[in-house]
Amino acid sequence: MPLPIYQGQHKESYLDSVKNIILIGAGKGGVGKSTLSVELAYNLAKLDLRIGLLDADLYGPSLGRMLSLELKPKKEEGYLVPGEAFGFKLMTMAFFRESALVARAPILTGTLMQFLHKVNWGNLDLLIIDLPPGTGDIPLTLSQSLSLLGALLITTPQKVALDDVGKAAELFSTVNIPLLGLIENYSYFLESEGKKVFPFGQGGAASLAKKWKTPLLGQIAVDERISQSGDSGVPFSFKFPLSESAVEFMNVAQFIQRAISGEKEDLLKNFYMEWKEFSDASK
Amino acid sequence: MLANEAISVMPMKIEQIDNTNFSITWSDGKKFMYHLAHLQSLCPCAHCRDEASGKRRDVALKVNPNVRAQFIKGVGGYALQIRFKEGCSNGIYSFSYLYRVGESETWKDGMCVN
Repeated sequence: MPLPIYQGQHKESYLDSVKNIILIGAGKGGVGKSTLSVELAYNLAKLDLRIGLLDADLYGPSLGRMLSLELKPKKEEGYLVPGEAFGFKLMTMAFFRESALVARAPILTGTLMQFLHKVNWGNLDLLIIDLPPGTGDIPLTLSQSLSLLGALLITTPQKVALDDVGKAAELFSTVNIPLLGLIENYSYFLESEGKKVFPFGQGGAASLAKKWKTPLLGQIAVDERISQSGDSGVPFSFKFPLSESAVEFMNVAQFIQRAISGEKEDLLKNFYMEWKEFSDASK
Repeated sequence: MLANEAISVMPMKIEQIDNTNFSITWSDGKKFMYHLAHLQSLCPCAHCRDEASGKRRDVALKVNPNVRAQFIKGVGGYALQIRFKEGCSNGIYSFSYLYRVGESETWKDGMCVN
């Protein structure tokens, strides 16, 4: 029997027009999470999904620097307008840190939650939130107030990275955020003859995925062209769509697309039951 | 203090029984009853409960044994929050916690006896 569902939300939020939200996390910094988030957003947009990407790392490198934006993010009266590039919308907290707008924008000095609800995303099929590295309380806060489809974790093959991402997986599991999958970055290096070598070790992400019963969605090569895309402001998948890594990114995007369309209404997240007064009860 | 490990049983149905009690039918088929005042006295929020010892703190508000609720709502995909008409409503009661509370209690004649 279905649980009673409360239709709509108590307060207005620009997130009402966002159909799904996923988190991209990593146990530690430096695993290429922001670069991969951009590649995923770009490939999802190529699948004709309406995508938004929120860079929630206030102190990290600005995604605004990493992408040549056709339309820059801007501040309107009481809300923020995301920038647009390469088919998807982008909002980065760090973008505003660098501009004079910070001094005159009290909403931006508030918490991530306040920030999230103030961005006018319009209708999105999916909002990707690129989390700051580490296992702070942000995933907990997000899980309590948002309906999340799940999380993707980025790791590298090294044991130290795997330990950290294991902790992140643990945190997500505690607050019932489904782990959609792992992506292993800097997985291998392709030598000129086509041979794969593994400068950072091999198999770590695969065994972590097995331990957490979650799929290893992709293994991205050590490819200087991917890192350079961050500097050039153009996604790697845009420039080199036929490369092995671009195909990997598209595979991951298609997996996420299937996760979005397969999701049934999760009654528990929107559960709301008004408490009644029974006039004839003696208790 | 009840163990805090997450378990995978989920609520399938949540029903109000009378002015102060409701029931949860869980995915393993078990059905447990819950009394509002009793749950409020087990509030897990940081103000009411000492995190280290698990015991109720002295500064926790007194619970009215007849306290009513305004609503119960889901939090994330893993917990319930109860808005009581008085006293502390800050507790986030995870499904695991609620299951263990329900499991550990004995009910007789519609009243919780332990």
